[in-house]
Amino acid sequence: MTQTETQTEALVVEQTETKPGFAGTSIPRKEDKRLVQGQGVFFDDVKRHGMGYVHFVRSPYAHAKIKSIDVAAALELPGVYGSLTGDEVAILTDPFFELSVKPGADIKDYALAVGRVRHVGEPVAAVVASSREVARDAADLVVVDYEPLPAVTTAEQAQTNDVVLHDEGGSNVVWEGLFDWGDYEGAIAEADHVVKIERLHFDRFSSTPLECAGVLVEYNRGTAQWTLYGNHQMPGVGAIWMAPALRAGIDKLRFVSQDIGGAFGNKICLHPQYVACCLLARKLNRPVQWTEWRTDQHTANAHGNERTFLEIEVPVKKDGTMLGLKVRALDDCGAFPRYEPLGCIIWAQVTPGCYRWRNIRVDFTQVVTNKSPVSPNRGYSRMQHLWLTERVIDLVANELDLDPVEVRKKNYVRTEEMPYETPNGCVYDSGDYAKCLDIALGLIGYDGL
Amino acid sequence: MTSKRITVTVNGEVIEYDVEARRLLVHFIRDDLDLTGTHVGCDTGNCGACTLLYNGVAAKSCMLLAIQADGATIETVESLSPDGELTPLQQSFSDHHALQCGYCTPGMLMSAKHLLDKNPHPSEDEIRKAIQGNICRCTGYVNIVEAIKAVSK
Repeated sequence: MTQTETQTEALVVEQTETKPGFAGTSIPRKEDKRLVQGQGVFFDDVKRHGMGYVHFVRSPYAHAKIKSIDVAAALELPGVYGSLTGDEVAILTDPFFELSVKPGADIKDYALAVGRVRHVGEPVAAVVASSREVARDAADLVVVDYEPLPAVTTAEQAQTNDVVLHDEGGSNVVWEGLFDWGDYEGAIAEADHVVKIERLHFDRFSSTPLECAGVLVEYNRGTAQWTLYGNHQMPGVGAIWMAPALRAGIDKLRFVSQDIGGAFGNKICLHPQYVACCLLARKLNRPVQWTEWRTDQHTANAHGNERTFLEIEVPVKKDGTMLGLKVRALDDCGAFPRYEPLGCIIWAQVTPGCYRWRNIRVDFTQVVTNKSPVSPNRGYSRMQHLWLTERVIDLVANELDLDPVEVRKKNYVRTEEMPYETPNGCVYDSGDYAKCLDIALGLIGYDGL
Repeated sequence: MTSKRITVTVNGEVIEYDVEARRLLVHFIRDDLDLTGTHVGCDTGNCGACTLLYNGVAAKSCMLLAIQADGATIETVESLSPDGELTPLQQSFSDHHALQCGYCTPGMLMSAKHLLDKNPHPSEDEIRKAIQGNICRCTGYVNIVEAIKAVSK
């Protein structure tokens, strides 16, 4: 009879001087060991017997009517298991909700284009085949007859509503709101001068994680449950989007996530492609895997919002003190707003940027255009606004013939004022912006420039 | 579609396999041989996530066809630590926080291995040049350079 003695460490340790806690120490990561050995499990690493590979047929037009889709030739190719088109999607699913109130909420958004394409790269049909190569060949055999429509390529053009993208709403406006804090007219009255900037523009971009989006979906006919091995970065939210569209409870969507090769926001709005894969897995009675191609990620995944700032006014004192800011912000969310109406509001977390101006008026409008739909991308929506504040400072300094470093320091929220409540009630709990600026200037050798 | 029987040594094992002529080496490695440590990050040969050693030289396996590897010797990231014992280079990546999502890491390790096999004491410039074909979207590269530097003293 053997006896085993084990020494176990107590789970809870009282923190003392000789036994400090973890704060401030360097903790090795638990995932490193498998990742440096190439033993991570990213969704494309997972395989299932008899699985099919999905390839999407995508629109080459920014805006067009779909007159017809013919998959017959694709289906005849040896190794092709099946296909899916927008007509089927419109019958089998309900539109996704947009994270918006009206008018944005009225937009109809499906897993595949229904009747019309609204951005280059929009998925129009899907084919599934025995290999990645055959799936691509099959996609080339799908014949789509388009009737091109005029494309809306700027937010300013979208606002005119000469060409309306979504018939349901009747206009290209997703959301508009006026943010007005303090007393802007009072700031004008007190100012020595008003700096006027006609237009600033923040371009759209992509955070481009190294791993593209994708998913492997299995469907269980007995339980009507889908299992998804994917890299959706917010699967709980994804399920909330997908389940109503699929007319199923969220308990019918089982997400399995292990390793994800970066996301940065680009893997939040994957629900359209995921629903297409769910429909295919059920229709074809086999697991299906979709792996996004990099080119598709660039053109049609999810860009970061493009924002145009118009009619900017900054009432200032002669010495560079900024009394307020007025701006008309025009946000371009691409063809479908999806998550991004949140961007219409979330920039307000950093309304004054680092600065002490109290009188701020922002007239914000978000519109759709015939470009890739957007999603949160890195510092999303706040980054566009912070860029605005920093550009404004430089332009103000330039117009007043003052040093932009001094104008910043004059206007920064000061350490002594922390915690500082911003005009809209957010609290900056700590910070020494002037010191940080000096450190940055030292690192780049500013004085020597 | 034309097929060819290839004979290729992968991580020390001689493998005979029938591959389609158009099959990329990276898909042969990942899908046919189940060696999924080598990754696909782009479709233009820019990102380096697919880097492995091809006859001892760092090569982008998405830019090679499997049939080109007939008769070649391939080493993938899995060959570094077959028994789960990390090499000093792998340990150094962890110690220096040279990885976050880990997707570029196999490619970085194989590029670094190529460098250190040829040049055990590279300068920082030589290290940076050796990984210039590998894109990382998470770390900003500094810690990767430090990790490689630490094992090249």
